[in-house]
Amino acid sequence: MSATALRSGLLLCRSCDLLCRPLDGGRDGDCPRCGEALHPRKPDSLVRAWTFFVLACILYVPANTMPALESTTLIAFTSNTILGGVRVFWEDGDYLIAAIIFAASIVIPIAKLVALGILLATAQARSPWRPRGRARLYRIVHTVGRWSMVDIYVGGLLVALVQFNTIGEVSIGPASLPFAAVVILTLFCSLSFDPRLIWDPMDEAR
Amino acid sequence: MSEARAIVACPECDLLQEEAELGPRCVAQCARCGAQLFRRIPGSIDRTLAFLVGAAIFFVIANAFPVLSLEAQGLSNTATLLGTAQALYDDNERLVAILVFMTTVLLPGLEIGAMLYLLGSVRLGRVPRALSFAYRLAEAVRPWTMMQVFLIGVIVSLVKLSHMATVVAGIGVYALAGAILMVSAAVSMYEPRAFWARVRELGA
Repeated sequence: MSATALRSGLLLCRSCDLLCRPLDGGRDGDCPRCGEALHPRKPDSLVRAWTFFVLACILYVPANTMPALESTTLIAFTSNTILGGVRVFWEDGDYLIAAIIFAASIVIPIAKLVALGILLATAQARSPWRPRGRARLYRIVHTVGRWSMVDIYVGGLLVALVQFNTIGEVSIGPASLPFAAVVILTLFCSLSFDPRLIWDPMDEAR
Repeated sequence: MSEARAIVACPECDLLQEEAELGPRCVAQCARCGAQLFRRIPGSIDRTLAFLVGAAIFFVIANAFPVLSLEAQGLSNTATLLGTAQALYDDNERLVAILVFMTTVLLPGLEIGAMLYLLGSVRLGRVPRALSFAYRLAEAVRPWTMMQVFLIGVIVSLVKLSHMATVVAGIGVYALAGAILMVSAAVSMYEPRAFWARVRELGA
């Protein structure tokens, strides 16, 4: 049986990592050092994380099927989804850029949704399956998540730079809002998820 | 309410364990889940502060100068960090514009500012007046700063547009790269335990 802060009745501040005792009368209180509200676990962790996860999954569809970028030049109007944008880079011979955008905009969001789904489902089911591996998965999800924003920044820069006084006009397509929302929602999801839930069933079983 | 000492709880798996004595530049990891618990960095406060000052200077320059400019038919358009958000706002993508502004300008600025304030104060021998607010602000903002991602966006845009027009990288983009390097260096030198130990010495 492992001694944990929860079992010992101690509270760890999630902001400054101070280990605290609860107030008299069993209330959790605030961290005496930095003032953050103390909780034994992130409140409603799974409910919140599932909500963000489901919303992200729903918005993932328009993010990938609607046009991300619409450009008008003197000779043509083109409209591309995110995947279409990757193909344009590839056909132009910019293989490295195509690979970067493909990884940031297609691979990372999918991998992140799958990973979050696994983390949430196994925590919900109180599964004892490979906790150390899942803890590592959580850390990876937390680190790589923000890189999907590349596409949004490229869109913004193109809109700022390409104006009709020069070579044409670029406008951001209807996919950018749901796409940005997916990035933000998955970040909120991983911030809401409490990795200690991975270990709790094992601490209670023995 | 008092704090328990010499025992640490892992923030990622809750395991209680005795605090290990660390040599300089060593990292303590959780015995069970492998999460990083704390580090020992000699001169943490001074080094972090030095990089933060550099980051603040680069950050101001990155915001004041264009990151990219496009030239065609004798005309040129420039994009700054703020101008990118502005262009999206004018293109009627207001929520996306606000998001871009927050992740590339507002929140990175707040993170650098809050950490400068905290570490600068203790370096000058004072307990910062807004200690708990500034500390929690810096912690809360950290996952949402995306300057490094924006830099990749600049590079991608540069390549994309170079097929159609002359694109020039501006001073802003070099300063942005500098700010990213300085912030990463500052974070790699920053050890919250050293900061809180100094606060305690100063008699908070």
